[in-house]
Amino acid sequence: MKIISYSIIFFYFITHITYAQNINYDVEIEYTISFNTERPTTQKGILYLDSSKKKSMFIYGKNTESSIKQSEDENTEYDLFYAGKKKVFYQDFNKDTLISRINLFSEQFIVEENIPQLKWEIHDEEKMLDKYLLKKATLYFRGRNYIAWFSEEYPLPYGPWKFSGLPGLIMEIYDTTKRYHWQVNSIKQTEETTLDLQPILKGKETLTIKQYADRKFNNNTQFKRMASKLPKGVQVTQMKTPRTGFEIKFEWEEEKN
Amino acid sequence: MGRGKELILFILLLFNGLIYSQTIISGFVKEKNGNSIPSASIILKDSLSSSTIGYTFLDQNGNYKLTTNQYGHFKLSFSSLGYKTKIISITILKNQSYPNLDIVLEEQPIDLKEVIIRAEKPISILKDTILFKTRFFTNGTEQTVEDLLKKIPGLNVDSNGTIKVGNQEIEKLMIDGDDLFEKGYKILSKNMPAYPIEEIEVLKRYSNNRLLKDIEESNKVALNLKLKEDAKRIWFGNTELGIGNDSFYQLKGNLMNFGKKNKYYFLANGNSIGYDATGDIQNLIRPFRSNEPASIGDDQQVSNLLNLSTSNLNFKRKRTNFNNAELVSLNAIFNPTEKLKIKTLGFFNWDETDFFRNKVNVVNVDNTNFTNTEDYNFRNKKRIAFGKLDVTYNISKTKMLEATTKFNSGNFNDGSNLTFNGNSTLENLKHQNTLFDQKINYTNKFKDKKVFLLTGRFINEEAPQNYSINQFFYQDLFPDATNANHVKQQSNNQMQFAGVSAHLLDRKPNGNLLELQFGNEFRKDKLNTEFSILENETTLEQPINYQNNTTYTVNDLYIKSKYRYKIGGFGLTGKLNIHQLFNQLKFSNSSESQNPFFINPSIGLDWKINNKNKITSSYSYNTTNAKILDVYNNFVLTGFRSFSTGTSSFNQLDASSISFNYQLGNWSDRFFANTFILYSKNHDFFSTNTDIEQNFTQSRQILIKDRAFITINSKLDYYFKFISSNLKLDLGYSKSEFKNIVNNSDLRTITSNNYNYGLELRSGFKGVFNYHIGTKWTTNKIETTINNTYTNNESFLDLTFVFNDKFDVQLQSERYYFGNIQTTDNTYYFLDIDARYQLIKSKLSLGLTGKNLFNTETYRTFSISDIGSSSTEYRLLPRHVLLKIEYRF
Repeated sequence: MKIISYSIIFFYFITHITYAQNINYDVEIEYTISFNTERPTTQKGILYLDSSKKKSMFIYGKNTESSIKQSEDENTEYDLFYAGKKKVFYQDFNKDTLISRINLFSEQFIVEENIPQLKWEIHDEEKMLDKYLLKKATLYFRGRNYIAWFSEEYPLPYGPWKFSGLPGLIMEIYDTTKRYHWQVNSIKQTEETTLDLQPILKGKETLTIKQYADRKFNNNTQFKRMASKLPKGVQVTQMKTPRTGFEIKFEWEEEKN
Repeated sequence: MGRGKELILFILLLFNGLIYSQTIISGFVKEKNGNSIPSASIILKDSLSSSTIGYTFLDQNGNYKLTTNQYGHFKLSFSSLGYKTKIISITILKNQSYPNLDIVLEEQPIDLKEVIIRAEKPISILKDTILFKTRFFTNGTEQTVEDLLKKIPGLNVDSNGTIKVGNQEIEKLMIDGDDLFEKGYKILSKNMPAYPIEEIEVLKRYSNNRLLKDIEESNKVALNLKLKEDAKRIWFGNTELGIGNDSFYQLKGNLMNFGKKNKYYFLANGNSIGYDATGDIQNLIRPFRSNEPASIGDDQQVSNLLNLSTSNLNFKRKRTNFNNAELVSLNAIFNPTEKLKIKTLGFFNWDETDFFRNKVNVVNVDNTNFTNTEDYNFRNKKRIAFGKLDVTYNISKTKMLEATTKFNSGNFNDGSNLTFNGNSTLENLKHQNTLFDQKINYTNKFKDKKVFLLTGRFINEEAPQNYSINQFFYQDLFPDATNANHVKQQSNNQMQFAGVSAHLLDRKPNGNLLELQFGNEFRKDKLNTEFSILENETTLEQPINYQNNTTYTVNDLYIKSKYRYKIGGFGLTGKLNIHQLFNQLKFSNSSESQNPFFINPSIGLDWKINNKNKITSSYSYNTTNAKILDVYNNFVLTGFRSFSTGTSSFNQLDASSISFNYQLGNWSDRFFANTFILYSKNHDFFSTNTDIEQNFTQSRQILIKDRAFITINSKLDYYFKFISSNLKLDLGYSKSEFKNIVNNSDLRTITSNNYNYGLELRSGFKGVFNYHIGTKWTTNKIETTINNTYTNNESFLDLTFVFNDKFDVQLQSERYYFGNIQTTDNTYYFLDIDARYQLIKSKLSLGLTGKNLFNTETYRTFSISDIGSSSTEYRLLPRHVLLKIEYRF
């Protein structure tokens, strides 16, 4: 009996750490993300901050609303997350975890990793954005060089996507090839809202960042299928397709070189 | 030994120093009441607060720890959202730490309901507009607008400068909404510097009339470049100079000056290599606006009775055009106020062309058999002055007034030196063309999706012609004129057009478009001709049946309606045009009138079965009213041995046609096929009753019933990945029927069958080399009393070598084969070469152009008709090589 109750407590405990994530946010920051890719688009992204518990969550994707609408019907609150396959990046700085919900070959996955150590370099350069004085910082992260502009007026060490750790809020950030560009639209303080993340992060296959990179870039099945369909006598020399996306080179790959 | 110890000690001390030189500043940050603050940024800055030396954050317990290895005077700032930022001065001394630097922050309620940050975005996407801020995409190496556009995602600029959005070519390239070039935008994109451009707008579903946007059907795309607010007047342009053997030359210059308010464009061109300089500005003179509202009167013009220049060749005109052309053009746009835009265009064109042709005409009809030989040497001199003024006044957001005035004055002096069956003959034709054209259009978007247009237009065009021949070939026609030795014809053809139209476009909430148009068009044609037979300067005779004094007025009162209904993949377009005509025909001594009423219905069906299969089909019944050149009553000299006359009565011609088109795949797909079938039946048509003599022909227009025409065309594209090449197949068949009378025969039916089949293979290699090879056979079969069949073949091979950005070479070779020429000269080869080398990127380039390298001197074609056959030999521009230099400034 005791054993059973212990194991119940034990199991409860385990599920609790894995899934019972919640964020108690009171600041909402909206960004515009410009994808200057082959088919240029812009999308809205929203950063939710729980600054007292040092948690942040960034959500983007098509049709991201400017806020999560609270509804009497508890279930509809999360519909938004499922509609349009939104990408979610949840960071808990006290626990040093970054949990991402991403899409890979039109399937949804959860990726867990430690919060990346971003080696920012702060420069003396400053510029104005609307009425805010921004300071320049640069960063190399996973294959791309970024230029960020942050505001000391908002002493919040957060930013969109996986960016964090500057002594002020990141108002604008772009990679030096200008392929991706994030820029703040609005900053809003809201009523304290608790959001249970369990439904957002449940029921998906969880990958480590290494497993994720492997699936994304070393998946050759599609290529092989194509090669097998080619007419007789035609030879294919394997071509390396350039990696695309935000992250194109990972820490362990840097070490190799 | 002792030294070694000293050294070790020294190193240890140094390290010690290094280790101890790390200064640690630490403490905690809390509220006044002692409560801890959950988060704060602590930033260490230099004494001027400009450089950030280091920073850290509060840990979970409200403590901070900042490490630095610098000494001196600094500022340390503590900030947290909801608290007043506290900045303290700190002097960091060597070997000292600051362990208990505790800070109390004062609460400051934040006013952070919602802060909107207004800032530029690199790309903004509105409904049909994509806006790119250029500074987000450039890296400073961009010289020209073209270089800049290449950097913008989604835009493609191909090797010859064609700009595409996705796969679709742009309609125009505007600067601040002003357009000076229409489809000839490459002059702009290849020359204008990139730096003054701040924004690029991609306009989808573009409408030339801004108020028709989203109301008329449009799939056009246009680009608009916005200049920086402080963009100074900039002068830019290019010049190209080419010098070749035998005094062949080419000279081109473009000069532009664009400011925020006014824009100027000057162009000059001179050449002797057969190039038609007006081709460069043709788009500006007559912008292509088919099927657009307010296009009333666009098809109204005077047709000349007499034309000494060449008939259409199935051949590049450049090869036979011995010219010496000069053209200057001045264009400008002024925006004196926000609402007013004035656009002017003017050009002067001088040209002197020579053309050489030898023709053997064999006529073989019933009992008439003869052979005529004509050795022709034409010389045309022309001077054209053209001016156009466009004024647009934007009355308000929803109302607009546009006025277009055109003026054209052309002066032509054509002469020919002809040897006709051994007789030396001189022809002379002096003619003028004067045009005045005024159009006013008022557009009112009176509701969100409803637009009303009111258009008025007046055109006056006059084309007098003076023709003389220094021989008299018509003895058989005019037996009394025994001493005649030459003939003259003076003619004047004048047209006046006045039209008004009211046009309503109504885009229904369900997306369907209703168009209603009510209008009245009046056209008055005056045709006067005077034919005289002369002996030296004395007029011997002015035969009565060879003089015309015809006035033809047509007043067309009409209602046109069009509705497009769309459901799913089905689209149904119905058109109904109702015309009430008031015709009047006046000859010198008689006059008659007629008021015909007719309805032209048409129906079109398009069905998009899925993304790969599309069908469009249409049926229409059309009645057209006879034109001035169909109705005049007496003979007119239309060439040195031909007379023609009209029907001298009113006629309306009825025709019906059915078309069907099936498209499989899309153009960008690997496989793409398109088949088009058109069947049309002329219930009435104009034909001729011709008397053919060796020295002259006389033809009268007659109205004949029923003839049919069918054409089938299939085009197929398939991309072969393994050779990276695309195969194109083109198959066509057409059959037409024609009926006429020759030398008082019965009505003869002429059936002509035409088959053509061709294939092309074109590579899409990424490397240096590309090829394009093709061949095409055409078989003509004409059946009258005699049957005639022949097959011609045309082949080409183009090779392109793009060695790098700086150097490219293009070779073009052509082969023509004429199946019905029995002699050995039935095959012709041509080789042209074009090489370009860029000395300074986008600045200075050298070129070498060689034309007709095999130096083919003459070119002979053979054609068959219902009355016989003719073989024509043209003289070609000899081999010439031009060395070109192009400079952009």
